[in-house]
Amino acid sequence: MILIGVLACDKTEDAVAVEETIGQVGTYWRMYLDNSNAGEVTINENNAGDIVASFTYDGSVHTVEAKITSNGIYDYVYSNGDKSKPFTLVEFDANVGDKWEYNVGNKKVERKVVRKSVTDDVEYGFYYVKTIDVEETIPAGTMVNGTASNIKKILWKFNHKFGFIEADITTTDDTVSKITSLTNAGD
Amino acid sequence: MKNRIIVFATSLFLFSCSSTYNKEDAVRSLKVLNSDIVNFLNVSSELPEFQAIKFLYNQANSPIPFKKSKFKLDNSAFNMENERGTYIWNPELNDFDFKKDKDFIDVRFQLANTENIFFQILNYESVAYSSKPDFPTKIIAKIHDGTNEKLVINHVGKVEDNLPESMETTIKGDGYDLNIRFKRTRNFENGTIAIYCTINKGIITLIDSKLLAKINYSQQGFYYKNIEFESQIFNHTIRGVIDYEHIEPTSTSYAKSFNENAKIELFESSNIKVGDIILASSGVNDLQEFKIEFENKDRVLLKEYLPALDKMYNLKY
Repeated sequence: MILIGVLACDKTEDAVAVEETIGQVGTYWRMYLDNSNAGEVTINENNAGDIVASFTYDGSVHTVEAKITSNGIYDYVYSNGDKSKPFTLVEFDANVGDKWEYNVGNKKVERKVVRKSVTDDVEYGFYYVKTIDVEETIPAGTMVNGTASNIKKILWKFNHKFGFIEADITTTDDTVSKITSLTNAGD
Repeated sequence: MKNRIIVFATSLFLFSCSSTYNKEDAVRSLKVLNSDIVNFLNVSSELPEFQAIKFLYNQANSPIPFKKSKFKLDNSAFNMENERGTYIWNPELNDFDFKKDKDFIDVRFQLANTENIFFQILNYESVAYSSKPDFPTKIIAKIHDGTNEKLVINHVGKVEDNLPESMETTIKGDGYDLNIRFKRTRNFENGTIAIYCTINKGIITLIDSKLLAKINYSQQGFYYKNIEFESQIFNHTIRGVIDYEHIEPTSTSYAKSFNENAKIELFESSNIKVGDIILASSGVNDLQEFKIEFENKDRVLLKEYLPALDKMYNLKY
Protein backbone atom coordinates (compact mmCIF):
# COMPACT_ATOMS: atom_id res chain seq x y z
CA MET A 1 0.00 0.00 0.00
CA ILE A 2 1.48 3.26 -1.09
CA LEU A 3 1.01 6.42 0.93
CA ILE A 4 2.05 9.62 -0.75
CA GLY A 5 2.47 12.46 1.67
CA VAL A 6 1.16 15.95 1.48
CA LEU A 7 2.35 19.30 2.66
CA ALA A 8 3.01 19.66 6.36
CA CYS A 9 4.88 22.93 6.68
CA ASP A 10 5.79 26.09 4.89
CA LYS A 11 7.55 24.09 2.19
CA THR A 12 4.19 22.70 1.20
CA GLU A 13 2.68 26.09 0.65
CA ASP A 14 5.24 27.17 -1.95
CA ALA A 15 4.01 27.14 -5.54
CA VAL A 16 4.73 23.77 -7.10
CA ALA A 17 6.31 23.46 -10.52
CA VAL A 18 4.69 20.15 -11.38
CA GLU A 19 6.99 19.43 -14.29
CA GLU A 20 9.95 19.51 -11.90
CA THR A 21 8.46 16.86 -9.62
CA ILE A 22 7.83 13.15 -9.80
CA GLY A 23 4.11 13.83 -9.46
CA GLN A 24 3.24 14.33 -13.10
CA VAL A 25 0.05 12.75 -14.44
CA GLY A 26 0.80 9.34 -15.89
CA THR A 27 3.67 8.59 -13.55
CA TYR A 28 3.35 5.09 -12.20
CA TRP A 29 5.09 2.74 -9.83
CA ARG A 30 4.80 -0.92 -10.68
CA MET A 31 4.60 -2.71 -7.34
CA TYR A 32 5.91 -6.11 -6.29
CA LEU A 33 4.85 -7.73 -3.04
CA ASP A 34 7.49 -10.21 -1.91
CA ASN A 35 8.62 -10.35 -5.56
CA SER A 36 5.14 -11.06 -6.95
CA ASN A 37 3.37 -8.55 -9.19
CA ALA A 38 1.07 -6.44 -7.01
CA GLY A 39 -0.31 -3.94 -9.51
CA GLU A 40 0.44 -0.31 -10.14
CA VAL A 41 0.08 2.99 -8.40
CA THR A 42 -0.69 5.62 -11.02
CA ILE A 43 -1.04 9.37 -10.72
CA ASN A 44 -4.30 10.34 -12.41
CA GLU A 45 -4.56 14.01 -11.47
CA ASN A 46 -2.24 16.79 -10.41
CA ASN A 47 -3.55 20.15 -9.28
CA ALA A 48 -0.63 22.43 -8.46
CA GLY A 49 1.08 19.59 -6.67
CA ASP A 50 -2.03 17.99 -5.14
CA ILE A 51 -2.21 14.58 -6.71
CA VAL A 52 -4.79 11.85 -6.89
CA ALA A 53 -3.40 8.36 -7.38
CA SER A 54 -5.14 5.04 -7.75
CA PHE A 55 -4.01 1.51 -7.07
CA THR A 56 -5.55 -1.92 -6.98
CA TYR A 57 -5.25 -3.98 -3.80
CA ASP A 58 -7.03 -7.15 -2.85
CA GLY A 59 -9.23 -6.91 -5.90
CA SER A 60 -10.46 -3.39 -5.19
CA VAL A 61 -9.42 -0.02 -6.59
CA HIS A 62 -8.24 2.44 -3.97
CA THR A 63 -7.70 6.16 -4.30
CA VAL A 64 -5.25 8.22 -2.31
CA GLU A 65 -4.53 11.93 -2.31
CA ALA A 66 -1.26 13.59 -1.54
CA LYS A 67 1.03 16.46 -2.40
CA ILE A 68 4.32 16.10 -4.22
CA THR A 69 6.74 18.98 -4.41
CA SER A 70 10.29 19.10 -5.72
CA ASN A 71 11.48 18.57 -2.15
CA GLY A 72 9.03 16.24 -0.54
CA ILE A 73 6.09 13.93 -0.42
CA TYR A 74 3.20 14.51 1.94
CA ASP A 75 0.03 12.52 2.47
CA TYR A 76 -3.56 12.98 3.56
CA VAL A 77 -4.17 9.39 4.62
CA TYR A 78 -4.51 10.00 8.34
CA SER A 79 -6.62 13.09 7.72
CA ASN A 80 -8.92 11.09 5.41
CA GLY A 81 -8.37 13.59 2.63
CA ASP A 82 -8.49 16.85 4.60
CA LYS A 83 -5.99 18.93 2.63
CA SER A 84 -5.51 21.35 5.51
CA LYS A 85 -3.88 18.56 7.54
CA PRO A 86 -1.02 17.01 5.53
CA PHE A 87 1.51 14.64 7.04
CA THR A 88 5.10 14.63 5.83
CA LEU A 89 6.21 11.30 4.43
CA VAL A 90 9.64 12.43 3.34
CA GLU A 91 11.61 15.58 2.66
CA PHE A 92 14.64 14.91 0.55
CA ASP A 93 16.79 17.43 2.37
CA ALA A 94 15.95 15.98 5.80
CA ASN A 95 18.64 14.54 8.02
CA VAL A 96 18.84 11.39 10.05
CA GLY A 97 16.89 11.98 13.25
CA ASP A 98 14.39 14.40 11.73
CA LYS A 99 10.87 13.33 12.54
CA TRP A 100 7.28 14.26 11.87
CA GLU A 101 4.28 13.37 14.01
CA TYR A 102 0.55 13.09 13.40
CA ASN A 103 -1.95 12.72 16.23
CA VAL A 104 -5.12 10.69 15.72
CA GLY A 105 -7.19 11.02 18.91
CA ASN A 106 -4.73 10.08 21.66
CA LYS A 107 -2.51 8.06 19.30
CA LYS A 108 0.65 9.54 17.83
CA VAL A 109 1.98 8.28 14.50
CA GLU A 110 5.65 9.02 14.03
CA ARG A 111 7.78 9.16 10.90
CA LYS A 112 11.49 9.41 11.48
CA VAL A 113 14.46 9.55 9.15
CA VAL A 114 16.62 6.59 10.19
CA ARG A 115 19.14 6.41 7.35
CA LYS A 116 20.38 8.46 4.46
CA SER A 117 22.67 7.03 1.81
CA VAL A 118 25.98 8.72 1.08
CA THR A 119 26.65 6.42 -1.87
CA ASP A 120 24.44 4.56 -4.35
CA ASP A 121 23.88 1.55 -2.15
CA VAL A 122 20.31 0.36 -2.63
CA GLU A 123 19.51 -2.00 -5.48
CA TYR A 124 16.91 -0.59 -7.87
CA GLY A 125 16.21 -2.40 -11.11
CA PHE A 126 19.48 -2.81 -12.93
CA TYR A 127 21.47 -0.36 -10.84
CA TYR A 128 21.92 1.17 -7.42
CA VAL A 129 20.56 4.41 -6.00
CA LYS A 130 20.79 6.54 -2.89
CA THR A 131 17.83 6.44 -0.56
CA ILE A 132 16.49 8.32 2.41
CA ASP A 133 14.85 5.85 4.79
CA VAL A 134 11.85 6.81 6.91
CA GLU A 135 10.53 4.58 9.67
CA GLU A 136 6.81 5.02 10.35
CA THR A 137 5.50 3.76 13.69
CA ILE A 138 1.74 3.31 14.09
CA PRO A 139 0.47 2.70 17.66
CA ALA A 140 -2.05 -0.09 18.19
CA GLY A 141 -5.59 1.14 17.75
CA THR A 142 -4.77 4.03 15.43
CA MET A 143 -7.78 4.59 13.18
CA VAL A 144 -7.10 4.82 9.47
CA ASN A 145 -10.01 5.43 7.13
CA GLY A 146 -12.49 4.32 9.75
CA THR A 147 -10.84 1.12 10.89
CA ALA A 148 -8.01 0.27 13.25
CA SER A 149 -4.74 -0.06 11.40
CA ASN A 150 -3.43 -3.61 11.06
CA ILE A 151 0.01 -2.22 10.22
CA LYS A 152 2.30 -1.23 13.05
CA LYS A 153 5.48 -0.28 11.25
CA ILE A 154 6.62 0.71 7.77
CA LEU A 155 10.24 1.23 6.77
CA TRP A 156 10.11 3.37 3.65
CA LYS A 157 12.92 4.01 1.19
CA PHE A 158 12.69 7.02 -1.10
CA ASN A 159 14.84 8.52 -3.79
CA HIS A 160 14.49 12.14 -4.95
CA LYS A 161 14.43 11.17 -8.63
CA PHE A 162 12.33 8.02 -8.50
CA GLY A 163 10.20 8.64 -5.45
CA PHE A 164 9.10 5.44 -3.74
CA ILE A 165 11.72 2.69 -3.94
CA GLU A 166 10.59 0.02 -1.49
CA ALA A 167 8.98 -0.55 1.89
CA ASP A 168 9.07 -3.22 4.60
CA ILE A 169 5.62 -3.46 6.16
CA THR A 170 5.12 -5.05 9.57
CA THR A 171 1.56 -5.96 10.49
CA THR A 172 0.16 -6.28 13.99
CA ASP A 173 0.79 -10.03 13.98
CA ASP A 174 4.49 -9.29 13.25
CA THR A 175 4.35 -10.53 9.65
CA VAL A 176 6.80 -8.59 7.50
CA SER A 177 6.18 -8.04 3.79
CA LYS A 178 8.43 -6.28 1.34
CA ILE A 179 7.07 -4.08 -1.41
CA THR A 180 9.49 -3.09 -4.16
CA SER A 181 8.81 -1.05 -7.26
CA LEU A 182 9.88 0.14 -10.63
CA THR A 183 8.77 3.46 -12.00
CA ASN A 184 8.68 5.60 -15.09
CA ALA A 185 9.36 8.69 -12.94
CA GLY A 186 12.47 10.42 -14.09
CA ASP A 187 12.08 9.10 -17.67
CA MET B 1 -46.11 36.24 50.42
CA LYS B 2 -43.01 38.15 49.37
CA ASN B 3 -40.81 35.74 51.32
CA ARG B 4 -42.46 32.77 49.64
CA ILE B 5 -41.69 34.27 46.24
CA ILE B 6 -38.05 34.79 47.21
CA VAL B 7 -37.72 31.22 48.49
CA PHE B 8 -39.41 29.86 45.37
CA ALA B 9 -37.22 31.93 43.04
CA THR B 10 -34.06 30.91 44.90
CA SER B 11 -35.02 27.24 44.75
CA LEU B 12 -35.76 27.54 41.05
CA PHE B 13 -32.38 29.15 40.48
CA LEU B 14 -30.51 26.50 42.47
CA PHE B 15 -32.20 23.56 40.79
CA SER B 16 -32.05 24.91 37.25
CA CYS B 17 -28.33 25.74 37.25
CA SER B 18 -25.79 22.92 37.23
CA SER B 19 -23.37 22.72 40.10
CA THR B 20 -19.98 21.03 40.25
CA TYR B 21 -18.86 18.33 42.64
CA ASN B 22 -15.77 18.91 44.70
CA LYS B 23 -13.02 16.41 44.01
CA GLU B 24 -14.01 14.03 46.78
CA ASP B 25 -17.61 13.79 45.61
CA ALA B 26 -16.49 13.66 41.96
CA VAL B 27 -14.26 10.64 42.69
CA ARG B 28 -17.15 8.93 44.47
CA SER B 29 -19.36 9.63 41.46
CA LEU B 30 -16.79 8.15 39.06
CA LYS B 31 -16.57 5.00 41.15
CA VAL B 32 -20.34 4.67 40.96
CA LEU B 33 -20.20 5.02 37.17
CA ASN B 34 -17.44 2.42 36.92
CA SER B 35 -19.45 0.09 39.10
CA ASP B 36 -22.53 0.57 36.89
CA ILE B 37 -20.50 -0.24 33.78
CA VAL B 38 -18.89 -3.31 35.37
CA ASN B 39 -22.25 -4.64 36.56
CA PHE B 40 -23.77 -4.10 33.13
CA LEU B 41 -20.91 -5.90 31.39
CA ASN B 42 -20.95 -8.77 33.87
CA VAL B 43 -24.69 -9.32 33.62
CA SER B 44 -24.62 -9.02 29.82
CA SER B 45 -21.73 -11.43 29.39
CA GLU B 46 -23.51 -14.07 31.43
CA LEU B 47 -26.63 -14.04 29.29
CA PRO B 48 -26.77 -17.31 27.30
CA GLU B 49 -27.33 -15.46 24.03
CA PHE B 50 -24.12 -13.47 24.40
CA GLN B 51 -22.19 -16.53 25.46
CA ALA B 52 -23.51 -18.16 22.29
CA ILE B 53 -22.28 -15.27 20.14
CA LYS B 54 -18.91 -15.36 21.88
CA PHE B 55 -18.65 -19.08 21.23
CA LEU B 56 -19.39 -18.65 17.53
CA TYR B 57 -17.04 -15.68 17.26
CA ASN B 58 -14.20 -17.85 18.54
CA GLN B 59 -14.72 -20.81 16.20
CA ALA B 60 -12.69 -20.91 13.00
CA ASN B 61 -15.46 -22.52 10.93
CA SER B 62 -18.59 -20.92 12.31
CA PRO B 63 -20.83 -19.64 9.49
CA ILE B 64 -21.19 -16.07 10.71
CA PRO B 65 -20.21 -12.83 8.99
CA PHE B 66 -18.33 -11.37 11.95
CA LYS B 67 -15.64 -13.45 13.58
CA LYS B 68 -12.06 -13.18 14.74
CA SER B 69 -9.93 -11.73 11.99
CA LYS B 70 -7.38 -14.54 12.35
CA PHE B 71 -10.11 -16.90 11.19
CA LYS B 72 -10.85 -14.90 8.07
CA LEU B 73 -8.95 -16.30 5.12
CA ASP B 74 -9.36 -13.14 3.06
CA ASN B 75 -11.37 -9.96 2.86
CA SER B 76 -14.11 -11.35 0.66
CA ALA B 77 -17.74 -10.77 1.62
CA PHE B 78 -19.74 -13.26 3.66
CA ASN B 79 -21.71 -15.37 1.19
CA MET B 80 -25.03 -16.57 2.59
CA GLU B 81 -25.63 -18.82 -0.41
CA ASN B 82 -22.47 -20.81 0.26
CA GLU B 83 -23.07 -21.08 3.97
CA ARG B 84 -26.71 -22.26 4.05
CA GLY B 85 -27.39 -25.51 5.84
CA THR B 86 -27.30 -27.17 9.22
CA TYR B 87 -24.25 -27.02 11.45
CA ILE B 88 -24.15 -29.28 14.49
CA TRP B 89 -21.27 -28.88 16.93
CA ASN B 90 -19.20 -32.03 17.33
CA PRO B 91 -17.15 -31.75 20.54
CA GLU B 92 -15.01 -34.76 19.56
CA LEU B 93 -13.92 -33.05 16.36
CA ASN B 94 -13.97 -29.59 17.90
CA ASP B 95 -15.75 -28.49 14.77
CA PHE B 96 -19.17 -28.48 13.16
CA ASP B 97 -20.76 -31.35 11.23
CA PHE B 98 -22.32 -29.70 8.18
CA LYS B 99 -25.21 -30.71 5.97
CA LYS B 100 -26.37 -28.52 3.09
CA ASP B 101 -30.05 -29.20 3.69
CA LYS B 102 -31.67 -25.83 4.31
CA ASP B 103 -32.10 -22.44 2.67
CA PHE B 104 -30.97 -20.65 5.81
CA ILE B 105 -28.11 -21.04 8.29
CA ASP B 106 -28.95 -23.17 11.30
CA VAL B 107 -26.21 -23.66 13.89
CA ARG B 108 -26.73 -25.95 16.87
CA PHE B 109 -24.48 -26.34 19.85
CA GLN B 110 -24.41 -26.61 23.63
CA LEU B 111 -22.93 -24.33 26.23
CA ALA B 112 -21.95 -25.10 29.79
CA ASN B 113 -25.16 -23.67 31.25
CA THR B 114 -27.51 -24.19 28.33
CA GLU B 115 -28.40 -27.55 26.90
CA ASN B 116 -29.39 -26.48 23.42
CA ILE B 117 -28.63 -23.32 21.54
CA PHE B 118 -29.92 -22.63 18.03
CA PHE B 119 -28.38 -19.74 16.16
CA GLN B 120 -30.12 -19.02 12.86
CA ILE B 121 -29.40 -16.53 10.11
CA LEU B 122 -32.59 -16.37 8.07
CA ASN B 123 -31.45 -13.64 5.73
CA TYR B 124 -28.18 -11.84 5.05
CA GLU B 125 -27.43 -9.45 2.24
CA SER B 126 -24.53 -7.07 1.78
CA VAL B 127 -22.90 -4.74 -0.71
CA ALA B 128 -19.33 -3.62 -1.18
CA TYR B 129 -18.44 -0.05 -0.27
CA SER B 130 -15.44 2.25 -0.30
CA SER B 131 -13.10 -0.53 -1.39
CA LYS B 132 -14.31 -2.77 1.44
CA PRO B 133 -16.16 -5.95 0.57
CA ASP B 134 -19.05 -6.08 2.92
CA PHE B 135 -21.63 -3.68 4.40
CA PRO B 136 -24.71 -5.63 5.51
CA THR B 137 -27.92 -4.28 4.02
CA LYS B 138 -30.23 -6.87 5.52
CA ILE B 139 -29.90 -9.24 8.47
CA ILE B 140 -32.55 -11.36 10.09
CA ALA B 141 -31.15 -13.66 12.74
CA LYS B 142 -32.17 -15.20 16.00
CA ILE B 143 -31.05 -17.30 18.90
CA HIS B 144 -33.37 -19.69 20.71
CA ASP B 145 -33.12 -22.72 22.95
CA GLY B 146 -35.63 -24.83 21.05
CA THR B 147 -38.55 -23.39 22.97
CA ASN B 148 -37.98 -19.74 23.74
CA GLU B 149 -36.46 -17.02 21.64
CA LYS B 150 -33.45 -15.51 23.36
CA LEU B 151 -32.40 -12.89 20.83
CA VAL B 152 -33.80 -11.49 17.60
CA ILE B 153 -31.70 -9.34 15.29
CA ASN B 154 -33.20 -7.15 12.59
CA HIS B 155 -31.02 -4.91 10.51
CA VAL B 156 -31.46 -2.89 7.32
CA GLY B 157 -28.86 -0.67 5.72
CA LYS B 158 -28.21 1.22 2.54
CA VAL B 159 -25.08 2.20 0.65
CA GLU B 160 -25.10 5.30 -1.49
CA ASP B 161 -22.23 7.12 -3.10
CA ASN B 162 -19.95 4.21 -2.16
CA LEU B 163 -20.47 4.81 1.57
CA PRO B 164 -23.03 3.59 4.10
CA GLU B 165 -25.94 6.02 3.94
CA SER B 166 -28.34 4.66 6.52
CA MET B 167 -28.75 1.85 8.97
CA GLU B 168 -31.37 0.68 11.44
CA THR B 169 -30.57 -2.18 13.76
CA THR B 170 -32.72 -3.64 16.49
CA ILE B 171 -31.55 -6.39 18.82
CA LYS B 172 -34.26 -7.68 21.16
CA GLY B 173 -33.68 -10.00 24.05
CA ASP B 174 -35.76 -11.15 26.94
CA GLY B 175 -36.80 -7.90 28.60
CA TYR B 176 -34.22 -5.69 26.89
CA ASP B 177 -33.50 -4.14 23.53
CA LEU B 178 -30.70 -2.35 21.70
CA ASN B 179 -31.48 0.09 18.90
CA ILE B 180 -29.01 1.78 16.60
CA ARG B 181 -29.81 4.28 13.83
CA PHE B 182 -27.34 5.87 11.43
CA LYS B 183 -27.97 8.49 8.77
CA ARG B 184 -25.54 10.27 6.44
CA THR B 185 -26.35 13.16 4.13
CA ARG B 186 -24.47 14.82 1.29
CA ASN B 187 -24.75 18.24 -0.32
CA PHE B 188 -21.87 18.53 -2.79
CA GLU B 189 -18.71 18.41 -0.65
CA ASN B 190 -20.52 18.92 2.66
CA GLY B 191 -22.55 16.51 4.67
CA THR B 192 -23.74 15.32 8.05
CA ILE B 193 -23.73 12.16 10.08
CA ALA B 194 -26.25 11.32 12.80
CA ILE B 195 -25.99 8.28 15.07
CA TYR B 196 -28.51 7.30 17.75
CA CYS B 197 -28.14 4.37 20.11
CA THR B 198 -30.34 3.23 22.98
CA ILE B 199 -30.28 0.26 25.33
CA ASN B 200 -33.44 -0.30 27.31
CA LYS B 201 -34.26 -2.78 30.02
CA GLY B 202 -38.02 -2.95 30.20
CA ILE B 203 -39.17 0.64 30.44
CA ILE B 204 -35.88 1.88 31.87
CA THR B 205 -33.35 3.47 29.55
CA LEU B 206 -29.85 2.33 30.46
CA ILE B 207 -27.98 4.07 27.66
CA ASP B 208 -29.21 6.82 25.35
CA SER B 209 -26.62 8.30 23.02
CA LYS B 210 -26.63 10.62 20.08
CA LEU B 211 -23.85 11.96 17.91
CA LEU B 212 -24.22 14.65 15.27
CA ALA B 213 -21.31 15.49 12.99
CA LYS B 214 -20.58 17.84 10.12
CA ILE B 215 -18.32 16.27 7.53
CA ASN B 216 -16.54 17.09 4.30
CA TYR B 217 -16.15 14.60 1.51
CA SER B 218 -12.85 13.64 -0.09
CA GLN B 219 -11.53 11.07 -2.52
CA GLN B 220 -10.85 8.79 0.43
CA GLY B 221 -14.32 9.10 1.89
CA PHE B 222 -14.97 11.86 4.38
CA TYR B 223 -13.44 13.65 7.32
CA TYR B 224 -14.96 15.31 10.37
CA LYS B 225 -15.24 19.05 10.74
CA ASN B 226 -17.23 19.11 13.95
CA ILE B 227 -18.79 16.55 16.30
CA GLU B 228 -21.39 17.09 19.01
CA PHE B 229 -22.43 14.23 21.22
CA GLU B 230 -24.41 13.48 24.31
CA SER B 231 -24.70 10.16 26.01
CA GLN B 232 -26.70 9.15 29.06
CA ILE B 233 -24.92 6.16 30.60
CA PHE B 234 -26.95 4.84 33.53
CA ASN B 235 -26.99 7.76 36.00
CA HIS B 236 -24.35 9.84 34.26
CA THR B 237 -24.26 11.98 31.15
CA ILE B 238 -21.30 12.86 28.99
CA ARG B 239 -21.58 15.85 26.65
CA GLY B 240 -19.05 17.03 24.16
CA VAL B 241 -18.24 19.26 21.23
CA ILE B 242 -15.09 18.66 19.20
CA ASP B 243 -14.10 21.19 16.55
CA TYR B 244 -11.88 18.95 14.42
CA GLU B 245 -11.50 21.60 11.77
CA HIS B 246 -9.31 23.68 14.05
CA ILE B 247 -7.37 20.95 15.82
CA GLU B 248 -3.79 20.71 14.55
CA PRO B 249 -2.78 17.03 14.42
CA THR B 250 0.86 17.78 13.58
CA SER B 251 1.28 20.40 16.28
CA THR B 252 4.03 19.87 18.84
CA SER B 253 1.42 21.10 21.35
CA TYR B 254 -1.27 18.77 20.08
CA ALA B 255 -2.94 18.29 23.47
CA LYS B 256 -3.26 22.08 23.84
CA SER B 257 -4.72 22.31 20.34
CA PHE B 258 -7.19 19.54 21.14
CA ASN B 259 -8.29 21.00 24.47
CA GLU B 260 -8.70 24.50 23.03
CA ASN B 261 -11.02 23.13 20.39
CA ALA B 262 -12.96 20.55 22.35
CA LYS B 263 -15.18 20.63 25.41
CA ILE B 264 -16.13 17.30 26.95
CA GLU B 265 -17.97 17.27 30.28
CA LEU B 266 -19.16 14.51 32.56
CA PHE B 267 -22.25 14.97 34.71
CA GLU B 268 -24.08 12.92 37.28
CA SER B 269 -27.86 12.92 36.84
CA SER B 270 -27.41 15.33 33.91
CA ASN B 271 -26.87 18.48 35.93
CA ILE B 272 -24.18 17.97 38.60
CA LYS B 273 -20.83 18.27 36.94
CA VAL B 274 -18.19 15.68 37.78
CA GLY B 275 -15.40 17.20 35.68
CA ASP B 276 -13.98 18.03 32.28
CA ILE B 277 -12.36 15.38 30.12
CA ILE B 278 -9.16 16.63 28.51
CA LEU B 279 -6.15 15.31 26.66
CA ALA B 280 -2.86 15.56 28.52
CA SER B 281 0.54 14.00 28.77
CA SER B 282 0.46 10.73 30.68
CA GLY B 283 4.00 11.39 31.86
CA VAL B 284 5.19 8.19 30.20
CA ASN B 285 7.20 8.35 26.98
CA ASP B 286 5.39 11.40 25.63
CA LEU B 287 2.14 9.42 25.45
CA GLN B 288 -1.08 11.34 25.63
CA GLU B 289 -4.07 10.10 27.55
CA PHE B 290 -7.51 11.31 28.42
CA LYS B 291 -7.70 12.75 31.93
CA ILE B 292 -10.49 14.13 34.06
CA GLU B 293 -10.02 17.61 35.45
CA PHE B 294 -11.86 18.26 38.72
CA GLU B 295 -13.23 21.49 40.10
CA ASN B 296 -9.95 22.20 41.89
CA LYS B 297 -8.04 21.72 38.57
CA ASP B 298 -6.47 18.45 39.71
CA ARG B 299 -6.09 16.09 36.75
CA VAL B 300 -6.16 12.32 36.96
CA LEU B 301 -6.05 9.66 34.27
CA LEU B 302 -9.62 8.78 33.37
CA LYS B 303 -8.82 5.08 33.35
CA GLU B 304 -7.72 5.31 36.97
CA TYR B 305 -11.34 5.79 38.01
CA LEU B 306 -12.98 4.13 35.02
CA PRO B 307 -10.88 1.01 34.41
CA ALA B 308 -13.97 -0.65 32.94
CA LEU B 309 -13.97 1.84 30.05
CA ASP B 310 -10.29 1.25 29.45
CA LYS B 311 -10.85 -2.51 29.38
CA MET B 312 -13.68 -2.10 26.87
CA TYR B 313 -11.55 0.15 24.69
CA ASN B 314 -8.63 -2.28 24.69
CA LEU B 315 -10.86 -5.27 23.98
CA LYS B 316 -11.03 -4.06 20.37
CA TYR B 317 -7.31 -4.43 19.94
